Amino acid sequence: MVSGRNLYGGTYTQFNNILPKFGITVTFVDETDPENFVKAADEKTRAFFCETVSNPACIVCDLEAIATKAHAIGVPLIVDATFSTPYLTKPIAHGADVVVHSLTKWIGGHGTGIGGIVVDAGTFKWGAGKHPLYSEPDGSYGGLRWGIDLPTELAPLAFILRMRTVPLRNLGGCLHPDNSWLFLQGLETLPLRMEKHCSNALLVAKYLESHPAVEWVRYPGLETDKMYELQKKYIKGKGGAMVIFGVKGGKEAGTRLIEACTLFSHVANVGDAKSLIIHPASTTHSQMNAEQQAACGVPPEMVRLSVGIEDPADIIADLEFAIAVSQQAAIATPQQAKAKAKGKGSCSMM
Amino acid sequence: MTFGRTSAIFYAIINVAEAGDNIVSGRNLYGGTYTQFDNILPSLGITVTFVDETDPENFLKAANDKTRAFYCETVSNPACIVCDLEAIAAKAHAIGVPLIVDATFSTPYLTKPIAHGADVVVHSLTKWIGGHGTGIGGIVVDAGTFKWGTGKHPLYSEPDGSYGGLRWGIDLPAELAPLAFILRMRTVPLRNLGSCISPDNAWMFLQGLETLPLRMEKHCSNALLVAKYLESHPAVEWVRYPGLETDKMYELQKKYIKGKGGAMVIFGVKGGKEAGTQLIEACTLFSHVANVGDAKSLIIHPASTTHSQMNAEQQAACGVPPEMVRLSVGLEEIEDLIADLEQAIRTSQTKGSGKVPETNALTVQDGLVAGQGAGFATLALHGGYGPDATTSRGVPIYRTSPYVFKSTAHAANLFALGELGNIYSRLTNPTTDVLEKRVAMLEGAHPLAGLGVSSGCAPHDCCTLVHALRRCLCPL
Repeated sequence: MVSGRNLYGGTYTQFNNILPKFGITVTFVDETDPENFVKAADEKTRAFFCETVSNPACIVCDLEAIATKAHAIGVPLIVDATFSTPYLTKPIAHGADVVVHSLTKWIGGHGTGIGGIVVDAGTFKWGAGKHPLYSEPDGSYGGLRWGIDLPTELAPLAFILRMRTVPLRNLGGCLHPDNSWLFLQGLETLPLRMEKHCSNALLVAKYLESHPAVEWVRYPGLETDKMYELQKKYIKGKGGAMVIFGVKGGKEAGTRLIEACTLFSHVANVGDAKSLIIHPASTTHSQMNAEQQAACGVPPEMVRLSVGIEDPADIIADLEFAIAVSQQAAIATPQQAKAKAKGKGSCSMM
Repeated sequence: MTFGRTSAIFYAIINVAEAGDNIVSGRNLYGGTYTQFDNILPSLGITVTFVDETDPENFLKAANDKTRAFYCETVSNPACIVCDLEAIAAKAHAIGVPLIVDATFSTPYLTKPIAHGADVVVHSLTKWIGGHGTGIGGIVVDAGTFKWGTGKHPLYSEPDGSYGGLRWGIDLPAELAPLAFILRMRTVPLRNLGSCISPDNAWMFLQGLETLPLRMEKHCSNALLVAKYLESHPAVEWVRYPGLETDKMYELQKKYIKGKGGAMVIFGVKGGKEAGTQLIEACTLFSHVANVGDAKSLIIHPASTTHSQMNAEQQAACGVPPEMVRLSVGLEEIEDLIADLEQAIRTSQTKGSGKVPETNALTVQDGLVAGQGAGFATLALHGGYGPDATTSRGVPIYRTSPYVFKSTAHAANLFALGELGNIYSRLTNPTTDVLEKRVAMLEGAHPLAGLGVSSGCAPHDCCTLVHALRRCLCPL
């Protein structure tokens, strides 16, 4: 498989360490030039893979270009659209053949349930011979050729039908109905939440951009951002909910900042209605070495924000205070930072 | 917190009054409240006098020395009367009684009754606070400002025999004294009568609260557009919506519900009750249910349902004419809501059609509303599910591992993929099925094109494994 290199840490580990143990190799390319996918492909390539908006570097993929390259050599494009959700992006409309989501994130919306979903565009021709799993007989189903023998009405959905009856059935990672139900509740407010996430994130990004102690900010919705034009095309110009930045004082200052926050929750998650903060290089992407981190767009000082739907004034007040604390080298321990936070009257919300 | 609003109201009343006492209440009330006040409380010796709350002086005129509280709704169900809380609170305090306010139809987002002088606030959490029509619960909030020990409330100034002679309004320590009402409510009515809220419901309401501001803004903006649409429709005889400039409640709602109008619209079509009935049955997006405050739009005919235990005179006093249709406007795309009303009104005006549709079938399962493609927000609320045999509006949670076969032939056929059906929840589950269809439709794919898995990493496993040429020979 050929995959973009800007990936969620867990995906990267799966692609780099686990799949090769089963004989499936993944070649990582710089997805900002779709031609790189084709250069890395050969006759054993079965799919291209990318994220609509990558975690955490916020690279927006040119889905149409990558899909075109994939189809030109007869392979499907699989797209992880977690960071955009169906509200901001419909990858199928841009040529994706398979869309995956972590329902845990913005679709669920409240950080309460864990789940995933796969959606089949129903347009890929699986029987062309490029995918032996679909053109050769399946011994566990009486010799059925998934890409050839299904009745006409079912044929377009060969991929998702096979996924349910072969990997899901036999490997068992099914979604619990309680979690399904939670995700249905979340979906009911998805449009409202995404609008608020994005408008809040833009305000946060602008605030950070103008702050003297902030060295750099990335947010696709900022006009100065390298992803600004692509995000206009692919995520309705809304910018998304994620903001990444680095403060003066590097990783140390970033750590103090995170520990000084009293509204942003320091957790390993994104896509909650509540604002979240983390230091990716030492957590979500810590299984990579420095070189791999750099390839994923994760410099050592990066702080990642998943901006929630709180009142924006409160979000910015928390960052203001936390940045101020981060710039005071005299603070020795997290306890001192928290004590300072309480003394400041910043509501601990507990 | 209590099991439901009706128990919240009941506990609030019996926390101030006992046999021989009375309450003075506005007459524009939810039907269940009215029945509680008019039938049940009197059988326990507590009388309720109903007054026209649009003149706060009426509360005083009806009060006497046994009056223990005044009561009203911020925005009444269904007549959308907006109470002048400050004026009513002032009257109540002038004679030393508290004002209890049911703020369900406004929620804390639009109105803070305590800031306007209310002493006790009650809510049905079932409605907009919960937000999704899934759980039932109520809550009581104590303003902490009423002086319970003055002697006007014997329940607070006389010794409580069940607590060693404690006088609730007099003997509590200084830090607890302001909350005498809510402390007594938890330890006397709640503890002994038992309508406690389930923690599962409490948890769901917490999820709902996270989006309350966003939802109320959208409910109100949608409701205003619906009201304006109805106002200009030739077949609509009358419309009431506090957010319409021409509405009698327009000025009061500017003061008390931030001028947002609220989420409820009531109206009557030409052809009276008959036409109203046909309209309701012709809706395919508005769900015909007895509820309000769901993210999904709802419709009902109050005179024959929610307020049916009243006679015609009582209904009129509650602002419920026989032809009234009540809308709880949801968060769907406004174009879809208006399209549904348009076709339903048209059907209602087709005289002598006499045709009752086979089902009040909600058609959004095929992605259409009134024959047109449904918008994103509508699909997010309705995709993949229409009421099943139980008629449940909310999606049921099927906590089952296996499913029962109709026969051995049926079982064999299912395993051979000869027909589609539920065998085992690892493969298919009806709750997950709704989610799969909804997300697939939101992605613009075929409704059967979705597959739910246990985590976001799992889809990658499934996807890449189906593409592997090399078979996995070791067990996972």
